[in-house]
Amino acid sequence: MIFHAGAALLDAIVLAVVSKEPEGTYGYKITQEVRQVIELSESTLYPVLRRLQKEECLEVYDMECAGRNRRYYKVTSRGWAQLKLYESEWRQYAERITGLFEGRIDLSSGTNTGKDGTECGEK
Amino acid sequence: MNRTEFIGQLEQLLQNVSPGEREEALQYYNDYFDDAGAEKEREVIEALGSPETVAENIRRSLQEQDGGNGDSRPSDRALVEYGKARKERQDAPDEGQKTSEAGPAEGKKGSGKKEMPVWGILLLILLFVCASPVLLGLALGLFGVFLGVAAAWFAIVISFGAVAAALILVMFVLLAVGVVCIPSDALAGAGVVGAGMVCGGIGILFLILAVVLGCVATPAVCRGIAGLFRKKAH
Repeated sequence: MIFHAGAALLDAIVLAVVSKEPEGTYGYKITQEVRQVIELSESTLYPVLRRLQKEECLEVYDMECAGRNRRYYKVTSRGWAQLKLYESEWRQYAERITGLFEGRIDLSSGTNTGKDGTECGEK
Repeated sequence: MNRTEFIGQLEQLLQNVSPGEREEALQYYNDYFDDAGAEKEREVIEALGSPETVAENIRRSLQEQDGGNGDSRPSDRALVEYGKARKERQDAPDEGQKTSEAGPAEGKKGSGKKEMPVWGILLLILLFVCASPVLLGLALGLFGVFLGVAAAWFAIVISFGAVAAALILVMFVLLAVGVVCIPSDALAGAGVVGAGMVCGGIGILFLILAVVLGCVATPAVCRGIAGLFRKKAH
């Protein structure tokens, strides 16, 4: 894959994967599922989970499974809000890039490109 | 290298992080090996890379979180810090100088505005409720002005039409009178017919004006106003 997921996109993907399991899911499974979506080195995921946990987007609990304690991750209400925000941001982003590729964006209408060049005409 | 060696090395490499963080990480990777199953142990070690890589990732992430309240974070995560942005805005009045150094965090603050705090929304609603008599009056007044202008406009169009109709009627009457007069007094009859034709010409001019105003200008003005609103809505 030539497009790399930045930290925000990685957070969004992890939150989305964890949110699919209302009862919570565990690290190994999250890693495997994230890797079905994007290429990712397996050691990158723990710091992301830990950070999301500290930011109270994920909560953890331990549950006995096959004679040992397994740590489960679950999306908090704050995490859900964050995920919704990511989803809407992503839709806008994807829509613009796709629109550009398919020629649906009229570039001449937004002639004032500011310093950052990200003016999109409508705010 | 087997699992025990891997975990052992990882523990050694994480000596310089806090015991709590070390415990968390070790538990995670122990769980990870358990869940992958003993038969996949080799595969997991290969996929994770060296214990050095794993430890480095953990250390770097912790440094990013400790370093300056997240200001050293990768910039692309900035937009989601809405809770923090709100806190910063509340803190802002106390520390005047801080606003100048908040430059790099501009993106964060700007996008933080997206999520309005609940009290902000409540205040806005309150404002609307309190201002509603004024707003209502203003809206009604504007509506009245609009209606007045529209009525005046249509009155002009209709009066033009009426003038045209009257002049054309006068033309027919004068033509008829003139034609009747011609046998007895040719000069007077011709004069009356001429006057009738002048009236008719002016009447047709008014008719054209009325038609142009009513059928061409009015829809154009309506379209113009509608377009203005559409542009504003976007």
